[in-house]
Amino acid sequence: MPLFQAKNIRAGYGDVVIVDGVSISVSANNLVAIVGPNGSGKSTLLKSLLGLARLFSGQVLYGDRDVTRIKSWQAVEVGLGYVPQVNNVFTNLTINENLEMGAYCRRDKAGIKSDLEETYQRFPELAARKKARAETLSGGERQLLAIARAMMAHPKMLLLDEPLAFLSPKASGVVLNRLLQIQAEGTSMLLVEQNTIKALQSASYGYILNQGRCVMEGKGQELLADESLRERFLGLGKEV
Amino acid sequence: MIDTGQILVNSLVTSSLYLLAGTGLTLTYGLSRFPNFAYAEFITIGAYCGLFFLAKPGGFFLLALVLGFLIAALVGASSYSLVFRPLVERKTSLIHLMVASIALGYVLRHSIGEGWGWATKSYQLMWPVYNIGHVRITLLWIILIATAVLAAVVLHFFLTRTRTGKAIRAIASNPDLASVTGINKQRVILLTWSFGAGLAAMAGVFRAADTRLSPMLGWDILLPIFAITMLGGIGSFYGLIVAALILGLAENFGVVLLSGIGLSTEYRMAIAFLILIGVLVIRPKGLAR
Repeated sequence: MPLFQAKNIRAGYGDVVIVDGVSISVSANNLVAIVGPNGSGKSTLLKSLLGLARLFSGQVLYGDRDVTRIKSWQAVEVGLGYVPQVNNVFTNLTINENLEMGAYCRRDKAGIKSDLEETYQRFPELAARKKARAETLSGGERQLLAIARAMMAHPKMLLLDEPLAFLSPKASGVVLNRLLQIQAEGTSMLLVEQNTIKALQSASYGYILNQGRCVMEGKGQELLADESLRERFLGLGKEV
Repeated sequence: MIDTGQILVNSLVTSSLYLLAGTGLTLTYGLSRFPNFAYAEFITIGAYCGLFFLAKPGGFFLLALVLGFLIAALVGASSYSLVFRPLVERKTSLIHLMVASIALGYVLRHSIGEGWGWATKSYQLMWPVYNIGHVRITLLWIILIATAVLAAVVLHFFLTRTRTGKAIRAIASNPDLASVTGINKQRVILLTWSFGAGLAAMAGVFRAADTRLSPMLGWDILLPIFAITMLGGIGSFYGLIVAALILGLAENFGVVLLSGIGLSTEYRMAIAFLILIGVLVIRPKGLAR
């Protein structure tokens, strides 16, 4: 059974439908990517699964549990972690406080303390500036903090909204490597990404969205190799 | 001759009152993202709770403070739950929320007026006066300053050391992120509204004990409270402390200046108004941003 399924999702903002009839499935320990051009509804789809955008119809399952229209603050308790594209840190809190907020739903003080130490070992960029406000971090550092913050809740699955957007090639390489490391350690991922090549190269499975609908799905490498898709939806041109 | 020492003490008293009164407004404004004009009535409710409890034989001032806090906290929580939360959940606009708060304030103010009458009243308490050199200070003022300092210290530790305190700052910083982090925003906001209304009520008890009380008590000091909220930066408790000190000094030195140029001290409220306009023009996000 898949770890996470979204069936026939119709979502948007206000009365405007942006995503129409999209279904996705994520198996345990897999990285699944959703790619597509700007405005295709990728981020809206992700937000609707967590109660941050309006879900008109559809069903969301986590294992065999129906989590459709779950309140956004309950998603963490279910096992879903979310890393937004922008505004992904608490700017007026210190780095340490951001991480503590990631563990808000936990009560095991000793466990939180040891996880903080482990996080600082894993993310040495953050360790050096524990007491600095998050607003002082660069874009790449903020993204790392956002991922580390989400991981403090021990999610079974991470939903990531364009984690590589606006990052330099070097910073996006660092972020992607950390994500792949986390995935290899057993956290499933649903990755929405504008950087199509990197996303599909890393993903075991991918969905291509265009104008709110899923136009193709398949294994990441196979999607990348499909020349008609590359030209029509991914803006990549022919492979050389 | 200007007695600087006395003016500084008076300033500290004014600042302490504004700090107690403004804490709840800035915190709830930061979390709920709209200015609650009914906040004035939380202050007035405190003043009248004081009148109710202190009128009884054996009425005890500190008990009046505590009971005023609790009753206003209940009114604050009810106001949020019954009026504002349903409106927020319906995605009501800022202007609708503001109008709702003005209407709620009107209802509360007139309920107090109908219940206790519109005439000015007094607690009829006599406070010991101490003279330190040329400086005169009452026991009430000492209790007020001590309460404000204690509230500031407690709140500092609450906001920086406790899980709920950090959650309040997190929601003020980024409400959507706070939600997906697992923070039950509504529970934290409700708690903040209760606590803020309670502190406002304590300010009301002090204000009434120091001067007199009428159903307009809270409304009359709403302008300076909004001025320090804007000056400190909406949602910033530390900015509020600095802003309360600035306005306290500006008002008390300003009164001396007004007298010096032959104007009535009734114009002291104009100082808060000038600061409010100045902040909006020069530094709209306040000192803390």
